[in-house]
This record gives sequence, C-alpha cells and structure tokens, in this order.
Amino acid sequence: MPQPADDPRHGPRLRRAMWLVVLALLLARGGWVSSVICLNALHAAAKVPQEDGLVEVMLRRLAPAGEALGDSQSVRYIQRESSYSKVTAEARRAIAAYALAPIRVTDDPAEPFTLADFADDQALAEYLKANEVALIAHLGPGLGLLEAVKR
Amino acid sequence: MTVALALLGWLVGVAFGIAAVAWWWPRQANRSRPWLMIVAVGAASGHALTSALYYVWLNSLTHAGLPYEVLEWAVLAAVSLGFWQTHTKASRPASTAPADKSNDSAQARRFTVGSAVAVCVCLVAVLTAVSLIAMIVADPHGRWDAWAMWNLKAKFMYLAGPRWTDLFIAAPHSDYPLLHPSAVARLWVYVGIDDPGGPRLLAWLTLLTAVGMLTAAVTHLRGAVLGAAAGLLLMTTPQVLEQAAAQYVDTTVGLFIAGALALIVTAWQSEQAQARRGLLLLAGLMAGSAAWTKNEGIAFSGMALLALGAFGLRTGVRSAWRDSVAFVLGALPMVACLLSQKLLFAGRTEVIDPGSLDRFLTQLTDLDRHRLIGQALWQVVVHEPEWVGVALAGLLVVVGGLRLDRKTMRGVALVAAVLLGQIGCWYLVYLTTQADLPWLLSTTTDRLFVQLWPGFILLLCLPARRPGVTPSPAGTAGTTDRPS
Repeated sequence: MPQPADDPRHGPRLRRAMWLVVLALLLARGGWVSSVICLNALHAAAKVPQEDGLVEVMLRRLAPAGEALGDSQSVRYIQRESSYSKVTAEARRAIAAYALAPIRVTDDPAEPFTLADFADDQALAEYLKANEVALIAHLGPGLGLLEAVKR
Repeated sequence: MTVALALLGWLVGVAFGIAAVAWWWPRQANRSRPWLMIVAVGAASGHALTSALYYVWLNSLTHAGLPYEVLEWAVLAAVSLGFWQTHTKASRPASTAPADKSNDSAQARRFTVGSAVAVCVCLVAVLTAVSLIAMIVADPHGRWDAWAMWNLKAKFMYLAGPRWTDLFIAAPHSDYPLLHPSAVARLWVYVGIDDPGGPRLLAWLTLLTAVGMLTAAVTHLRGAVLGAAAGLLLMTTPQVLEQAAAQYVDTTVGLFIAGALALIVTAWQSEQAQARRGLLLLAGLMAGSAAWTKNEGIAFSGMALLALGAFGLRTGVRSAWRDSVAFVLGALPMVACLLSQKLLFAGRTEVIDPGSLDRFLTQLTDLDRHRLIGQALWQVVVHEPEWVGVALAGLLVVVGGLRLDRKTMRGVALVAAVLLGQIGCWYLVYLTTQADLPWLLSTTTDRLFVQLWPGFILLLCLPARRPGVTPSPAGTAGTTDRPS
C-alpha cells in the first residue's frame, strides 16, 4: 500500500501542512468539547443544594419524599451479629455508620430496622405513632432509623 | 486536611509502584529509559499492589496487631532500596550522537508544534479537572453502585476489623472483586476516618492515571503529539468523566486494560527475549489488576492470555509458552487475591448464571434477545464516543503516515482481537443471563464502553508512524529521528 510520504504527488511539505491543520482542528475541537462539559458541570453543581451527611443526601435525592425507607441490608449485619434484644449502644452507632443504603423502598413495619425520611420531625413522629416502631437513631430532621416494637 | 491525608496515602502507593516498576523495567543498551511510561505503569501498579497488600493484611495480619501503615512503609522501603541498588549499579546508557544540522530546523519546528500541543492539552486537562470536581460536588457520594456497594464494602474493610468479611453478606454483589473497596479503605487508614473525601479523591486520581497511562503509552509507541491527541480524546469523552464522577470503577478497568495492551505491544517491539518477557510480566500485572477490579477484568485477562499465546505462535511454540508464562507470573499476585476472595468468601455471580441447559439453549437461539442486544450495542456505538474527535484523530493518523510493518500489524491485530473478544464475552453474557435483559442492557452498556474506550483509542493510534519519521527504503517501519 503506497504511503503518503512515498507518493511523489504528495511531498512531505504538503503532508506536513495537512497534518498541522488536522492537529489544529483536533485541538480546537477538544478545547471546545471540554469547555462545554465544564460549563455544564459547573451549572449542574451550582443547582445542587449543599447538604451534609451521606444518608440525608442519598435518601432525599433517590427516594420519594415522605416515605419510610426499607431496611438496608447492611443493618442486617448487626442484627445477625447480636440478637435483637441485645442491640447495644455500640451496635446502634455501628448501625448508623453502616446504614448507608436504602436498598429497597417499603413501608412494611414488620421489617426489624427501617430507615425513614420525612419532611420534618413532626411527620416522623406521626409515622412512629401509627406504625408501632421506635426511633433508635435520629439521623437528621425527619430522618431516622427505626426499630419495630416487639410484643 | 482530609484530602491532603488521602492524597498522601495515594502518593505513597504511587511511589511504591513507580519504584517497583522502575526496578523491574528492562534496560536495553543504547536506549534511554521511557520514564513517562514507567511513571504511568508505576502509578497504576502502585494503586493495584497496595490495594492487594491491604487485602492481604486484612486477611492475615490484623490479628497479629501489625498496623497497616507500618507494613506498607516497610514494603516501600524494601522496594526503594532494591531500585536504588540496581539503579546505581546499572551503567549509564551510551550518549546518543549529536543530531546533525539538517535535523535542527525540524527539531525547532517540532518544538513549536509540541509546545502548542502541550499548552492546549494542559488547558483541556485543567478544564477536565474542574469539570470532574464540579460533577463530584453535584453528586458528592457518587451514584448508586458507589455508595450502595463499593464504598459500603470499603466501610466494612476499614471499620469492621476482623469482622470485615460480613460485607459479603451485607453488601450486594459479594462476588465482585475488591480492588476498589480495598484501595478506599487503605486511604481511610491514612485519613484516620471513613470520610467520603477519600473515594472522591480516588475517583479523580484514577481518571488522571487513566489519561496519563494512555498518553504515556501512545507517546512511547507513536510519539508525543499522538500521545497528547489520545489523552485529549479520552478527556473529552463525556461518558468517561461521568462514570469517574459517579465513583464507579469502570474507569479503573479501562486504565488496566489499556495498560496491559500497551505493554504487550511494547514488549513485542523488543528484540531481546528477556526484555520482552520483563514487559510481558508487567502486562500480566496490569491484566491481573483488571481482574482484581471487576469480573469483566477476568474475561479480559483470559482473552489477553489466549491472544498472546495464539499470536506468539509465529515465533515458535516454546517462545509463545515462555511469553505466556511471564504474563501469568505477572498476574499471579492479583489472581491469588482474587482466587482467595472467590473461593473463601464470594457468592455466586448472578449475571452469568445461565440456569438450566434448556433455558440456556432457548436463550441462545432467541432472536428477540439478539435484536435487543444488537440495538443496545449499536446505541453505544452511535451515542457514546465523541465521533468528531475520533474522526479527526483518525485523520491525523492517516495524514501523518501509516506504519504497516509486520510487527505493528501484529500488535494492531492482537489489540483488536482482545477488544472484540471482550465485546463477544459481554454479548454471550447478555444472551444467556437470567437477569432482566432490558434492565441489564440499560445499566451496563455505558460501562462496557468506558472499560474499552481507552483500549480503542490505543488501537486507533497504533497504525500511525511517528510524526517526523523518515520512511525506510523498503517503505515499511521507517526510522525515528530521535531516540524513543
């Protein structure tokens, strides 16, 4: 296969000029695309309200507001380790540390541990009263880790 | 402060990797060492090796009460000492002859072009860095898989002490390899707390390493301008940035895939068998690291090994066998970690469980499934790459002159075969999985793209001749007018 440099009709100078033009176009295109990406990213970042705390951020953004969110599978870890009635203060702290993921959304109060995310504490209190669950970790306004009340 | 400590942890890992790779990288007479490539491969290796070290420590040494930092610093000191001793003993490379005057103007011109390219690429790199930071600010904990799986597993590996293995019950996808959770947990050791800044920084640095790896590899193989173009193309692919900001690990898989392929091609350029095998060992380390990152990396490692053996047969069965052994030896540390995880802790891999034979055969011949998969893959081809950039880079390669000698074509064929083989593996998984196919396609095809994209950019650049290369009389490889 003939190569451009070997073809007498296309001397190295012409090839070099073409190469420089293509290179300039590539660089210009790269600059343009990265500028657009950057502006879009900055715009999106400016829109997001700054929130602290993983649980709060995640629950509020990924789950419908005003719902009780099902137990995270990570909570089951603690449940397996210590029996239900022996959940110690350390274990509860560990639950708070591990309770990162609303694995599935449910309002089933039979679930032993439940993450709940409501608009405010009043809504959370109403849910507690209505569903026979106890608040075992208050993670933020309207946000709590709940335990089914054992009979 | 958190970020500074996490950065310190990452830099220690990188220093360890660079020292190890520089120690191992074959020395060839009359050739300067490709430091850019050594640094890139070293950074990637350091990331993988320290992750494996943390996993080994967690498995075996936590009970002995040995703090992880002490172990890591001891290993780093040992490797640095080895590198220092080897480096001081090695003779300096013979000085190259001064360039003749006819090359001076070409050198000066190239300097001007090179400077302009460097300025542009640095500008794009800054914009990319800002974009990624902004994306991370918008999505501070990454997307679902990041916080529900990768970082959750890291929490167990950092916080749960000897009970860290409960992550295989608590977190989803217990079969997924542990490079990333282990690396995040390791950074938290340096920070002293499980701060989300650790995984954020790691996402940022992994993309940086991936861009650096591709740039260094193409620079080493095909010259600095094309290397810069390759890095630029990767940085301006929106999907790559989005996946990195999501704190997903597909960028990491892409980094190791590109690194392994580039090292195989580099190894095949070497005339000396010993140097070739030294580089193939590093390629094996990269492939093993891909396997230790995600299950797709396991498929890649198998594919790369098969291709290495098959393409190596041209040089004789014994040579191909030895090359393959070097590759496997390199992958061994990571494969050992992977095997221990798979055999001792991991559950089954849901996605590739074909179920009964009847079901498997039915799905294999189900035309609707073929159509769905074909459509999804076509959507990736149409929408994911930045096609104008790809076309311009392709044009740059063609106008700059193609290099169609036997060695180059062998490298091109191997890289193409491995990448297509990887797509074939995914196709087979999609075809036979018991998981909901539309859901699986909608959630995974973009990741497949991010994993393979750096490798495809490498493939695009491989047939190029170095800019400024004088064609040889036979019109084949040509000779470079500067040392590689």
